[in-house]
Amino acid sequence: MIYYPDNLWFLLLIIPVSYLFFKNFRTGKHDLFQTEGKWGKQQLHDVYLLRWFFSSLVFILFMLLTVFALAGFVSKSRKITDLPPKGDIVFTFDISRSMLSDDIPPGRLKRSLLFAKSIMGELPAERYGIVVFKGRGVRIAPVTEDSEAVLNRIASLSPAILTSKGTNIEEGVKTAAVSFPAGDDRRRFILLFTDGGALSGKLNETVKLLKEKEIDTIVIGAGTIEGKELPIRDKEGKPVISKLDETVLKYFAVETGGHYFNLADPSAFSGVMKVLRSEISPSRVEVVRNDSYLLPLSFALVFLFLYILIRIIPWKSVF
Amino acid sequence: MITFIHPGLLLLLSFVPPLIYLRHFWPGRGGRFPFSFTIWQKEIFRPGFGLTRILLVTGTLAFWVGVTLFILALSGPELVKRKKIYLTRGIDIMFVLDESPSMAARDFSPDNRFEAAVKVIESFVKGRDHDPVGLVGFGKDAVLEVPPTLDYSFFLQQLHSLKVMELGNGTAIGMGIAIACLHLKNSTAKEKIIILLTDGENNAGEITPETAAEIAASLGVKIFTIGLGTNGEVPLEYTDPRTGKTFKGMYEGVYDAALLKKIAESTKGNFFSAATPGALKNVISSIDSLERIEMRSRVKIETKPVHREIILIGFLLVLYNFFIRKWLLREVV
Amino acid sequence: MNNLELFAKIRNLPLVSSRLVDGFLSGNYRSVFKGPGLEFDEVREYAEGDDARFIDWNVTSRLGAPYTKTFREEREIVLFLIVDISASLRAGSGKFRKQDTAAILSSLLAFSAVHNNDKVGAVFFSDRIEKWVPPMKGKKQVFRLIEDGMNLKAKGKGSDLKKAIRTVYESLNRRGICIILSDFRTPPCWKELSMLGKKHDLIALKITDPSDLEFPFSGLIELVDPETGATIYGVGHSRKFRTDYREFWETNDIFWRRECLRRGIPTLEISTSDDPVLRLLSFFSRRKKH
Repeated sequence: MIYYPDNLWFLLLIIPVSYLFFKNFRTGKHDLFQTEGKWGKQQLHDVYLLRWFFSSLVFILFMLLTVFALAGFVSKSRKITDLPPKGDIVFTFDISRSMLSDDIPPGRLKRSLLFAKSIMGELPAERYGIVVFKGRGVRIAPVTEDSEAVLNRIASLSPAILTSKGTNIEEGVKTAAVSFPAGDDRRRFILLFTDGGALSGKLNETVKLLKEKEIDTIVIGAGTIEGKELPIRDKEGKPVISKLDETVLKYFAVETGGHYFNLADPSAFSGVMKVLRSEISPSRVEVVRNDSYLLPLSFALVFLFLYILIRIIPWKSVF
Repeated sequence: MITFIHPGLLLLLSFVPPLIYLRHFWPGRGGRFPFSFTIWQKEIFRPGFGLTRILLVTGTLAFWVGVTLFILALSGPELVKRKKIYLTRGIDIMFVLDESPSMAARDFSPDNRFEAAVKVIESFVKGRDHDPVGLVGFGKDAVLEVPPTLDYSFFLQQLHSLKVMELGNGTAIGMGIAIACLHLKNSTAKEKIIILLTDGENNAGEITPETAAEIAASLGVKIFTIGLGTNGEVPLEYTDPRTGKTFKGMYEGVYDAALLKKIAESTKGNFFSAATPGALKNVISSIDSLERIEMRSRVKIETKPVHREIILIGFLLVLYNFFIRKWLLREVV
Repeated sequence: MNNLELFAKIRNLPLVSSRLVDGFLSGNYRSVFKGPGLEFDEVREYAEGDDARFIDWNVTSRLGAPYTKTFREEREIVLFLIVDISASLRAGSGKFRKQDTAAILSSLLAFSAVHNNDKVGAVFFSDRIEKWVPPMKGKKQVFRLIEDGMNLKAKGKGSDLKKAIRTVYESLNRRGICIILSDFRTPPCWKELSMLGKKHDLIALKITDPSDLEFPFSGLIELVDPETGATIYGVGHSRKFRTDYREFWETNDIFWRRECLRRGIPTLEISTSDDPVLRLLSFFSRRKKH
């Protein structure tokens, strides 16, 4: 079995490499006989041909085996069942005013809060925390076992508790990422509830942070794509329509290696639970792969050394 | 940090310098075509230092770095991350802090009682490793400021945002303890303690301190009580956070030592009185040393093999040299 | 071309060289070297075909008819070849290497001398004196000389013309004809050349090759100099490299020609792609006209 079949594309490089070998052989032959004249032809021809042949052969074998090593042929894999790890889950709520829209009953934020509560009901033994964000993120409940306190905080959430403007998903996620306490061997999740917002376009920093802290992200889009008027008016008194921006959220989920669910989708809850349980359920099985790159790589190295040696050794004292 | 599965193979690296010597400096090396370009003992034709030379030098460097990387990859490099994992569940510690106006009394020079209390709580928390800490503030009312958490930075942030008089003029000791107990109720910790810091008599709240202490005792929560302040008149100065008005004056009042003692004793805790900043520090550090359990931890070693990346870089470097020589410069031998 | 073929070529040389002597040099190849080895014999009446340079004007005015001097051979004359067999001559882009061309030329010259019943000697040098053939007479001697020249594997790597010239200068006392066959990729030795030029008739015969000016490779190749062991990368497809290469050797050639001219040393450049016989003939006939 091959683990990184994409690397096999490197084999295509052998074509230009061989082409160059052939092309340069012809140039070289012409050149050498130009200089060395006709007086030493046979011996020179032999040496040049041999040198060229072995050197090309060895280099192409080197390439071949390196690509095999890169592709990772797997000799065996084994399964290990670990002790079921526990989880830390940080709910990250977008509390911009657009979350007040009631295009999904009973309202985007309310539905999100209910969703979060149901998860806490399903997984009571995990630790939870809450981060809210608009233009910036704020921890309003640290990661704690005390679900009573978390539920209290959830009950009191409203856009009013933050005065900053805008919706910056990255800020929210970054704040959530640093609120996981260290010193535990727990799985970490960020459950992001939002209806879309601005991304900086340079997610690298956030992705790196999530990777470093080994955090899984689950993005939950709240609202409908059609949108609905908000119960507020803009400066000119016109109604404000807010829509769910799924493209941004899906993009964010893909970039951070996470999952995306639509809150209005009836299967969203079971989907999220499945993701969470796959990491923290007792029947979790981890497959350890044992890829045998050592053999092809050592041969590749041997051929590389041969390639160098063929170049170093003077042949029949010709050159 | 990087470790190797087969560190012995790193010995292959010792072949690299001799090979470099043989390939580039050995006078007898092959692959060079004999061609006269010098005037003996006079002059050598030397081509100028141009782009070609730069390409050749970078190519050659790339090649040997590539060879080195192949040897490194063969030795099975792994990125090792060490993580300290606590196997023991720490103690849950709830601070119950008096925020009544009298805490603004300035007899804990240079601070007032409240600031002194905040400082010692901070140093206490910083000295802890893996014990969840929580915070309840009380005045006329009692409020959970921080549920028991290991997120110390959040705890300290909340602690420093507290202000005297935020929760009204009063001292609801019973309510404070009750709220703390409520949030320790579901805790899985083997040991749970409450550290109560107050300077007054219980004069507000629906739950009496005695009842609260009973609840605590039934939940197995120890309460350490600390009485702050001295007898006699002390200057007082605070700003009401609600109205923004500053109050100045003299205050005379004293904590109910008997009550605090009773609470402590009924929950197998201790009562301390602290009249000076130094005494307060001593008290806190003695609680700190009393409430220590042996924390067992292990170091979790996570390894991530990185040979694939290294092979890839080495491969690309070798190919870079190849294409420079064979394609750009059309090397014939 | 291997040695066998070269020997075949050389075996035909006696005929060529007799033509060289008979046809063009009027039986006296030495006369192209004005003066040396010639001893005034007598005057006789001028006949058509005689060299006008040798008219004795004193006698002519006195006797009223043109009289010309005749010369007789001064004992015998020595042709001495100074042949470079350094490693830099082991190259050539055509049929012959520089070394082969040098061998053909020296045979040609030696045969001519033998044909004229003169002594021929030679020194083969690299950075040392590889072989010394004292001046001797006879065909056998010439064949020996050629065979030595062909089979000699140079022990030294460089080309120290200075040393060779000094040796010749010190060993040959009688005035003779010296011809240096070399690619002149040697350290400068103008002082020695002047000295030798004063004592003997000296010709500097430079063996060249098309690849001296035109860099022969079109790709990248690591080159090692056979004499010094220096290494450079030849970058054939770079125009700048080719220009640099051409300019380097052109400058060197111009300098060499100028310095020889200054010292009155006649120069002859024969390329490996030239026909050595023709080049030699045209050179001598040109000189004769002077």
